[in-house]
Amino acid sequence: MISFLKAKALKKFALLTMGAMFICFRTAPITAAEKEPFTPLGAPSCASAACHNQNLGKGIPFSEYTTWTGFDPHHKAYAVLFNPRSDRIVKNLYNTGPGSAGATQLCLNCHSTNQGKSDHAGPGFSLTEGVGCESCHGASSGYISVHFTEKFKKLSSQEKEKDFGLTNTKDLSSRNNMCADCHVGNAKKGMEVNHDLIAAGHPRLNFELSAYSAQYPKHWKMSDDLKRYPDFNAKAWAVGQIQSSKIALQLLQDRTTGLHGVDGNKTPWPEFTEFDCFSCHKDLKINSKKYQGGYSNKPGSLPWGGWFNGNALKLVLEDSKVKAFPTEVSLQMNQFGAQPSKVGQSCKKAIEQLEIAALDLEKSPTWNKSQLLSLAKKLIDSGKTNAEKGSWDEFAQLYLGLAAIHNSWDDLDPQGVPKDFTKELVILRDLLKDVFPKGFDSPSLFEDKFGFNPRNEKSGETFSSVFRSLQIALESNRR
Amino acid sequence: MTLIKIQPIQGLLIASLISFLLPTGSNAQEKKDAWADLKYQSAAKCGECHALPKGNQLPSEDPASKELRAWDVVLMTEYSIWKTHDKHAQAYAVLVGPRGKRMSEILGQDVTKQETGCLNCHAMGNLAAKADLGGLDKLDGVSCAGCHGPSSKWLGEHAEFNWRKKTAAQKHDLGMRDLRDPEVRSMLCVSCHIGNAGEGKVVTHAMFAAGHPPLPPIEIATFSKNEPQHWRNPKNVPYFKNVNAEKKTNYHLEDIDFFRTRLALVGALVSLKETVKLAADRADFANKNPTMLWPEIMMGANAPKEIAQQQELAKAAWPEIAMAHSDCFACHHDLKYPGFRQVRGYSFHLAQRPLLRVSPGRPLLRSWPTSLVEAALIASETPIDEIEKGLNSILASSNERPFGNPETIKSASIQLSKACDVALAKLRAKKLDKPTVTRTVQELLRLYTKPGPDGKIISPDYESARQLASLLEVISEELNEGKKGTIVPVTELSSLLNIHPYQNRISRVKEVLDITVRASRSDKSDFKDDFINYLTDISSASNLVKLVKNPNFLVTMITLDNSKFNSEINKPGVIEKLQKFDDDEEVITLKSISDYEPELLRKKLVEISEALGNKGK
Repeated sequence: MISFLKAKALKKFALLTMGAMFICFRTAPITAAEKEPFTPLGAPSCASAACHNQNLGKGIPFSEYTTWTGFDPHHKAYAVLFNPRSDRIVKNLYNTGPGSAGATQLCLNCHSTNQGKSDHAGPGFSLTEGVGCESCHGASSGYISVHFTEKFKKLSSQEKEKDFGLTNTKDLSSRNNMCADCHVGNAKKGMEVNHDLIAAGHPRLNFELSAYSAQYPKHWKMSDDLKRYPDFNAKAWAVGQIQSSKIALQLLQDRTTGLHGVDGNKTPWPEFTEFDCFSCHKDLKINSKKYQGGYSNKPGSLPWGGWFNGNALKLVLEDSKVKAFPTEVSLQMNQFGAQPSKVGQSCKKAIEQLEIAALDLEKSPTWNKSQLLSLAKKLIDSGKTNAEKGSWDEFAQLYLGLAAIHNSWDDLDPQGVPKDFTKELVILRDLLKDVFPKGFDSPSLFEDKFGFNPRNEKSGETFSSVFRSLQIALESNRR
Repeated sequence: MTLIKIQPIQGLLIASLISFLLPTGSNAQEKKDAWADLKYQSAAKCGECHALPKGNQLPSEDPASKELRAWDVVLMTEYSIWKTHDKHAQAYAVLVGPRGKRMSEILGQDVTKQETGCLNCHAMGNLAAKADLGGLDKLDGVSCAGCHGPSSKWLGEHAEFNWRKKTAAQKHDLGMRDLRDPEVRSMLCVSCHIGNAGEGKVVTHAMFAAGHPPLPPIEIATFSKNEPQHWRNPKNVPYFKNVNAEKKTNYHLEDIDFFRTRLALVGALVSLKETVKLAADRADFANKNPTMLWPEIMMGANAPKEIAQQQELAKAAWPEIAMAHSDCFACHHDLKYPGFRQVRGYSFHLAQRPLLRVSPGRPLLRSWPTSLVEAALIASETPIDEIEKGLNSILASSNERPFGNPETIKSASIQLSKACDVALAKLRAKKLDKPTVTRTVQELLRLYTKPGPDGKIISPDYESARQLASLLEVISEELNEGKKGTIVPVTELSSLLNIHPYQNRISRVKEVLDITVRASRSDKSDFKDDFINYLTDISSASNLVKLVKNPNFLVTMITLDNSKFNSEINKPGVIEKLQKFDDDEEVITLKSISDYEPELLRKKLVEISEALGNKGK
């Protein structure tokens, strides 16, 4: 780890270098160096020692490239296509031999930059870089020679994107949707993890912007995010809920057309990833708690939208001016015999509303503490209400929301978060993790954690008890 | 009541030759229509004689006696065994009980009403219309007539001496089902235990979700044994000791040493045929009888009323319909990492025959009915190609869209059905003797323990493995007949896969016997131990004599009030106990499924292979 002082010194040096470069290019007009379509030039183009490759340490400015190579798993996105798991996936999907995932378009669409297309790319471009700089920031031919100029820096994020191809990663919606192409899915670009692919061995997708941002080995400063959004964690969560729902509905709409889908095949319908994984994927039990509790839909039907369109989204949208929750889609998808074309129409309407709701929320003033706490209360109430019939996905989304609010609360008022609230959140997190026993990819102990256990009993935590305790912890702050 | 005195009869060579030429079973369906005018009768009618033998129905005390007694042919305790030991007798009670009530709540419809379809399997509801006046009693659940056929034309005659001279086909024409014919028996069992849309016997996914237990895979020989049997294996029937040509054809005694193996192999082909037929029948969206075919779309107040709308909805709701015949545990398993399914790949699995691969993650038809087909083909020396083509057609249909393409599943089903029929005919013509059965089991074990052309050893799912273990147990018992000891790894495999999931059976009988006493005019239950002792070996004459000595048993059985019996079963405190017996057994079954790994099966198969190989030397 590089020391702070050293880093500071090197940073100065970097600024000087940048200044020199600026002088060289200052006469250049602020127009894109190339017209659309912009072409990717490859990560090495960003990695000149004087620019983003100064290797000053993780997350330090001008060390973006080295942070990415050293810490960011995106760097290995292509390499993993050659491991045994990938071999098994392509074997199951296409009956192809070891090593062929790296040549499989479906895989390359997300596991490389530029969707695996090397033509119309600069000489520095290589698939081997995995998910490189230009995957997120956009093909650089339009901005590489100008993006460090003062004039360029004065442009808005939207202008940079529109005219120069530098993706807007600053605004919450835009950032969410940039990630969502791969992490939620974009059928039009062939980026889709459907049930076929998961059954073949690929992990499921459950993206959430705030958590992903928190865990991502950042090559930028968190303080920059907080400058733009002092309530970054909570707001990213809330905007992310809406935008990811929108992207998921876009994917669903595309699936209903039958034009997209893995491998150019007709889209499978029903597409099982639309539904709650663990409703089906659980060992059958006699008189399970779910069975005792009864079903809200037709018995044996597949519950839709557990992750992207569940209660968390409903709560986020409660105060929205538009009625954006995709109720109609939900009604259709929760019954068999829904006509794909009608589902597609409902998606289209919902997508428009969600976009409005997301942008409204994004532009809304920074949330203050009382707004954060009132949102937290809603999430806890929802958890309490459903504590004995909810799904793992539902509780996990509630946890992520509460954690995001917790972190923003801490950012706004570092001494203000009650210790108990933090403690209870950790208990909820561990509960959600511990229901997956070792060697399991499904929460096989989930229903064991239903029911209410008073604290200090050996029987352990349950969702009822932890949501109750969270409520008490939250209220203790008000007193 | 007539006391039957049966004399030994001479074989009629000509009659037997004629009956040999008659088709037996392959067109059982058409023959059934000949029953249209016949009437079904209640179990009480049968119980008048078949509760307990008396007088000279009993086995002769003189071993040298040549007098043929009723017991020499049948047990005469069939009614009693069925009523107290066989859960078929409580098939209706369970609908009235808490499980049925809870299902009614969840489904939003009364499971005891004919229109929900439950009665078709649980009380022979599909036959009720044809019942004699005062005939079928739904309180009987699944009773004698359901399997043996409508008795209006044979009830008197079948107790007479001359009945023995009739061929199976003649008896069938009078309405008695030829249950000794393996194909007829298999068709009958699977009509409920797999399903038969034409008879309105369908367990929908909604019913499963509402609490219906999963339908286990069935291997007919073991399934018959576990019913439990109210008949003896042919070798233990005194009347079959001296087999002549007539008896051979009238009672299917062609290969008495391996009749259970035959049952299992025929049952395998029938199960496959009926599994795909169920799927294909329900994919017939032009069908005019939605109530029978698609109970799942007829649920609730919003169900469409017009046939055309119902057909339309069935087409749209095909995924829901198809879930009923899909492999339960292909979806319903906790996800383990690394799990055997992803390593194994996705398809049906025939040993050493790489079938068409299907897209991962697509629900398939239950695969257990494919698991014993290879054994049937080996035994009958039928080439596998046509079955393989048929299976590949099903797989191709399954690949076209999730839950299969209902359009193509119909033609695939017909293709596979034809291939099964060819194999069934060859199996019918094939004598099962020791060399054939030995060759079959050795070849089967070789297929299951050695890698195929793709370099992989077959990895069957739990249900297929269970079928295999069942067959191995049946074959090894028949090969080992008369010898001391069992083949240890076979027994170990049976217990590993829990193929006899009836841990609470005796406790259950005891409970039901108490209920029986309470529902009768007797108040003495001092026969319980004698009866349970009798059940341990129903072929034993001495066990029977002991039971008969206590008059209380017969009094209980013949004064039994059926409605009281049913209400006693469903009394608080009693039904919970009975339900718990079932639930505890089901918990063990489900755990066996969860814990299953193909690797465990493979190891045992290698041991069995070695054990059988050594035996051969």
